[in-house]
Amino acid sequence: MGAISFVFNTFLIDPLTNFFVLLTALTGNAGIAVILLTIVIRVVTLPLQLRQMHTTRMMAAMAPRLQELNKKYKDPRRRSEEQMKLYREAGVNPLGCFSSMLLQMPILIALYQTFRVTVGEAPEALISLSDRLYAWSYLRESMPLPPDFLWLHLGRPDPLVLPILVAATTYVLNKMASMPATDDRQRAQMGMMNLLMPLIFGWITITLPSGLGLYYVLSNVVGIGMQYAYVGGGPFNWRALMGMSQEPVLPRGLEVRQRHADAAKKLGRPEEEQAEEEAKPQAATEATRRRRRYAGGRRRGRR
Amino acid sequence: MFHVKQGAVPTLPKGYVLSLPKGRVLALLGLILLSLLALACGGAAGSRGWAAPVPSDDALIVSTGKGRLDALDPQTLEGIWRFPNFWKLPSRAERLAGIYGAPVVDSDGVVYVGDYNGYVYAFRPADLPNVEVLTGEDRPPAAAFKLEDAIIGGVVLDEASGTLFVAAGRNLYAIRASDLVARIENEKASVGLNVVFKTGGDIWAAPLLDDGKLFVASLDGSLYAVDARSGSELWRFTASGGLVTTPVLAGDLLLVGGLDSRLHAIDLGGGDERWSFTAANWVWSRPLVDGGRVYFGDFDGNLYAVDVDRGQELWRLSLGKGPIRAAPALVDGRLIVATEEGWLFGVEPSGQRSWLKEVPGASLNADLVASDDAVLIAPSGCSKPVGASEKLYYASVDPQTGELRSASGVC
Repeated sequence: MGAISFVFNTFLIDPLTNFFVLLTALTGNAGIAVILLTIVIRVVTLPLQLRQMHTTRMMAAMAPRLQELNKKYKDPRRRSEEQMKLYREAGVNPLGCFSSMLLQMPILIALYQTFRVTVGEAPEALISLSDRLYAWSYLRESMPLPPDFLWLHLGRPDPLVLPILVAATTYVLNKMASMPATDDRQRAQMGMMNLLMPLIFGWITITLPSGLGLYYVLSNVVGIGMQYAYVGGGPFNWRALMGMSQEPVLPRGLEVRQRHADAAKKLGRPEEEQAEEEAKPQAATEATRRRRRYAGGRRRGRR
Repeated sequence: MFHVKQGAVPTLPKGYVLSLPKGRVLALLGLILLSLLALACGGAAGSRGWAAPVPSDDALIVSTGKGRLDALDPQTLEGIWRFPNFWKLPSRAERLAGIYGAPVVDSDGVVYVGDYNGYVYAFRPADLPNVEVLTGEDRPPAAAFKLEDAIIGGVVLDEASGTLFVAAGRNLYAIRASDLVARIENEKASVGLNVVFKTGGDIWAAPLLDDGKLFVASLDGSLYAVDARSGSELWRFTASGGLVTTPVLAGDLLLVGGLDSRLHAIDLGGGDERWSFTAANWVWSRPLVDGGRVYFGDFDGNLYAVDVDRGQELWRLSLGKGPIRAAPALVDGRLIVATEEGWLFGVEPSGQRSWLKEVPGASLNADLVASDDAVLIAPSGCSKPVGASEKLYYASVDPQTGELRSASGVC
């Protein structure tokens, strides 16, 4: 236990804490330091986030193939083997969808500790911080840090605005990242997740230092930007964002999905089936039909 | 039925090679578990308080827990009363959050104390009924008056003018003490309050009242000299880091320590710096002046003896048992020092360590107080020494031997 704590403190919490103190000392504002810290963390974890976005899209694209396998193989063991084979061939690890989220956990916990000791209100926080600060007079003399930013005291929880922002940005990010469901059951599950997760995160924010909430909101905003850039920009389906349509929030995401689906479709099939497939005229896939339907809807809407 | 020929399977473009090996997934899962464990063992940084013990003829008043005062018999160290438990308070003021400044007792026996929750309390121990078991109805009332900010600096009483000065947030308030006493009987009695002075940062140290002047150390890095009556600023000295210790008089000098890791000696008359001494880390322990020497500790666990006139180091002793926040005490020529990690040291005036003693499981951040032939301490909580069957609260230490004396009825 002691060793775990030592490693976590030495390699994550202490460097983050000192970096945050340094940023605050340089900028003179803890809120601006949180913004800079968010950008740095996002840049450092960028490869993992890109990988997660790819994996998520691939998983969505492979869903029809997986359904095929489910129908085809009644024996659970065999079905599982075939599914794993498909994943392996696509070079996809189903757990890869969570890799970025998993990395976020220790970072969030480390930031929680950082904000508690750096902008915590009670003098005891400064005593805890003295253990963590590197022996650099510039850092030591900059204490205590100015904890105020806009309407927030970064060491205290914000009971209203920040939780709402956390919930709203989490909802938008989830909506943008999720693809249309392939069946009703999946649709119901996704709908539930898209609502519950933001509510839970918003609720947790009520009890946490607002510095952490601010980081989370900024991180979500960057994530929204990345998601938009990943699918190549394009129109924004506000109706879907508001839950008034089953279409994707980012319609261009369907094209990305289609590309992935085309690649996934060829996986795990014998050569003769593939040849037969290629010989067939290009039948509209489910996703393509959906895209067309969506595009038609937009056109009709404009008239 | 599918049969897969490995060579015939089309591969995705290079950018789509996304697999995470099982080992890496396990490592990530492990990382989450470790994080949660680390969070669980991460020390809380909430308020607790570190009020120094206050000795008087009838009782020794000690902050024995978060937002709690115990009065102990000075001879036997048996518990006499406990605040707020033995008093009736308005419901909104019942939850205390941490007492940092030492309580003050006036000549009528009224106790004044400020809490981190922003309330100033006044109560009379003499009001307690002489009963074996105190019931809810028997509890006497206490006064509570809310200020805007957390009280960390504590309270200072000027009995001559009947004014209670309270450092809360950035402000130094003056409260009419008699109004507060009137509030003991009548919860709605009005209380005369005025902001004497406002500093640029929070005030974490008790102001020093001397000859009608208040000397206030602030986290904005300034030491202010303020006229106690009018509130006008007489002078100010500004350091490069926040000032956190209560200023101490040494002849015509004021000594104050800060987060710039220095002890500053300021001219009492005009606020000019006579000298400053650079320590290894923050100087947060109130300096102790004895003869021509000043003793203080730093956050690297060093104890210093410095010449008061010239600011030159006479000796330093590295104690290596955590930061020193508590002011040292001197009894019979022996210096007693406490560290945040719960260690007590007996040190000779020459800088030789004579004994050390641990108060297990407690922090020693409250200033030490010399009283007769003992040194009063106020650990952050009860300890359970090895082999002991029950928890003990240590309230004093023998300066010669380091033997600890525990109070009864506290834990």
